[in-house]
Amino acid sequence: MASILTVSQLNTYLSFYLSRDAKLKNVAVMGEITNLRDGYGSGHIYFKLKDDGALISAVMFRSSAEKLKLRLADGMSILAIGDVSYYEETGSLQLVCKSVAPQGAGIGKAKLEALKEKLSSEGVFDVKNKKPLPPMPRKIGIVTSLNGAALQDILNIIGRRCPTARVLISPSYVQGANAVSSICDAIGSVDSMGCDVIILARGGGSAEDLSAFNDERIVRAVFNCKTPIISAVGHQTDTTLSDYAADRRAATPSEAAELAVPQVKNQRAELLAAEKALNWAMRVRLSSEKLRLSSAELRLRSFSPLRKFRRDEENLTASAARIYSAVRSRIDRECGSLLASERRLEALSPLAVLKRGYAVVTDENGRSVSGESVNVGSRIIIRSAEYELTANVEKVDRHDGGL
Amino acid sequence: MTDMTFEQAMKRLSEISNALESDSLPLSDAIELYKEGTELVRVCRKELDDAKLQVSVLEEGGTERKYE
Repeated sequence: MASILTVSQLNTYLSFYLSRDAKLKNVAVMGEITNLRDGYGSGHIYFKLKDDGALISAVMFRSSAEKLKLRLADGMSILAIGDVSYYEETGSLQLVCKSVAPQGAGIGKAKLEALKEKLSSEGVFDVKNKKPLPPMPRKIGIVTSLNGAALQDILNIIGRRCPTARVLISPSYVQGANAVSSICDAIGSVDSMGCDVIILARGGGSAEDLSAFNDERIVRAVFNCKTPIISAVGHQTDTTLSDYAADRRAATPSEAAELAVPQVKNQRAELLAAEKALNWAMRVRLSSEKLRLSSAELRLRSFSPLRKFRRDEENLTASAARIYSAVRSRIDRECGSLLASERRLEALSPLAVLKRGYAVVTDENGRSVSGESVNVGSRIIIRSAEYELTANVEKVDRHDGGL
Repeated sequence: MTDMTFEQAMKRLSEISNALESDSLPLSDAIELYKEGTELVRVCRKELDDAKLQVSVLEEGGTERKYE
């Protein structure tokens, strides 16, 4: 016999034991509602879930009950998703429901809701986990079927917008039994091929066709993909959990291609702009050099020997003019004084004295005559203004100077 | 030059244009840079004119084959 336990010890153990079993978490249970009662204003809903052979207590706490889109009622067949928990105080087991959906067509939806909630609580859909798309991808990975129209749409758009890009297709089944593992593998292998961005694409299809993209494995593969990934599954109205987990969601494969290769980065326009900028920069540079050159030329010319020569030439001309005018005025001055001298000379001329009635006496040799040089009988020449007389001296007397 | 990607070439062109605008660069260097720039433009234009999207398919084992 095992050791004796208190009730508390037993219930604590049971609670611990049950909480360890992962299969009792997020369990989906089909059954019919019975014994439904509200929690007397607490917002909790208590009921029992039964089928033909068994019954289990169930509770939906207010936090979950508030999100209910349908009104629960006794006799309703539902699919409840929740955790099995053990309430130690009363030793009772209950299903703590997180979501409830009507049974039948709603089963898938309820499961999906539950999965969505679970992944959401793990942060799989969090905006903060989303990677930005590269502004200009060089290598683009595509996970899709080789035969689908989606691939052609994507290739057309990338080819038109960015013909220098490289595209790597990671082929996968997008429907059928192998779709899930095939897509997971395709994402995993292309993720390590150095792509800048990955497009996960599938054209439109029925809800069942698209259901693979709601599979937890694919959603996680999308979330764990290290390369930024764009999801484009189905058409505008179809949104799968993979879409929520991707870094960007595109409504169609074409739109995914447009998101991956933005039009603004049109390479031709970019090249043209770069060429214009280059030519402009060079033109500006050249004109500034020309300006510099002509200012240097101007400066150089001001120091030119030719310029010095011209200056010397000018000086020379000026000096010559100065000398000429000096000489000229000197000549004029000299001419004037010459004229005055001439007149003065003329006034002193002996001829002028002769004209006044005097005469000059000389000996035969033209020498002026004084008393000592003439004797009686000497021949003398008497010269007046108009006549020359030859005479012989008859007497020589000295007088006292008066006339 | 030939192993430069289009984006690298664009980046280089922008560097060259910026450098040309600086007066501290000797003119002979500026002319060399301009030559390099015009050559880059020529090669890029040819690349664009000749460009045909390169598409390959990833096969098991990580090898790539040309997509037909």
